[in-house]
Amino acid sequence: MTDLPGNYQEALVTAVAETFENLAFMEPEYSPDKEFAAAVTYGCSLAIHAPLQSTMQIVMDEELGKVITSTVWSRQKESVDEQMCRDTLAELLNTIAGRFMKALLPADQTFQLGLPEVTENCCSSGTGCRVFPFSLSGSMFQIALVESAA
Amino acid sequence: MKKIVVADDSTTARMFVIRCLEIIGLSGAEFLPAANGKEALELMKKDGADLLVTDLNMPEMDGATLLKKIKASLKLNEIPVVVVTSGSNPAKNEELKKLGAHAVLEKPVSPAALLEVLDFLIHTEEKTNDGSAW
Repeated sequence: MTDLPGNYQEALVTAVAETFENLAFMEPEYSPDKEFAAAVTYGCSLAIHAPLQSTMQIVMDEELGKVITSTVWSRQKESVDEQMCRDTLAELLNTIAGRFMKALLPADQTFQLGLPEVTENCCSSGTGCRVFPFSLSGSMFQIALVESAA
Repeated sequence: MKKIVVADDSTTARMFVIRCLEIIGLSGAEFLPAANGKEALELMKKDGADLLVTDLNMPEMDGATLLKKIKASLKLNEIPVVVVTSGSNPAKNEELKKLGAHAVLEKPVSPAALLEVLDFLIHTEEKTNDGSAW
């Protein structure tokens, strides 16, 4: 895994908390002792091109995706469709990644993010992958940092 | 009625920006959504605009390229451009301001942050609503 500054975990947890609070008025809790598992999931990934070479992923179960999307859009959950969920998830990930990179880097160093992409295969803990489980509204979602090939 | 172009490849982000603009007093504006810089530029060339709020990281044409094209256009270069981006940091913000951005805001944008940089537009909107000449 690419060397990350020592404060990367704190930076990621803060970025997730701020993003959910500002965009969805929700407060996820970092839950490192819990494990994410879901039968049907929404997943999204975003490449971080520079200066780190990695990919950030978010994955959550379908029901939580609908709850978050309905909150962000101020709509009834029943009126939320899959495209809205995926778009909301992508925007959440994009914002989290930006806040994470800003927190990690010196003020005079710019960074470059890719465009969010739908992914069905999110990594689990292991070589080249660091996972960060969060609890929210009685459910779970997971952020992962995946090492990119050099 | 003011025309405000909101450019972002995310419909969620566009909705969020429009909601914030409505909250700060621009609910009477006509919002023109664009999914990328190319669409935004075409909209502005065709219909003009009083304000562009744009993301930076978009397919087809990114926000920085859009900003350069607007500032290079005799027809469009007076349109204020507010960049709303997840890629905000002091170095990047300075670059964008040199390119002509009126302001650079971090995602997710808040009504308070928009109000701070769009005070001039709100005041002209109020004058317009009062029946004064705009």
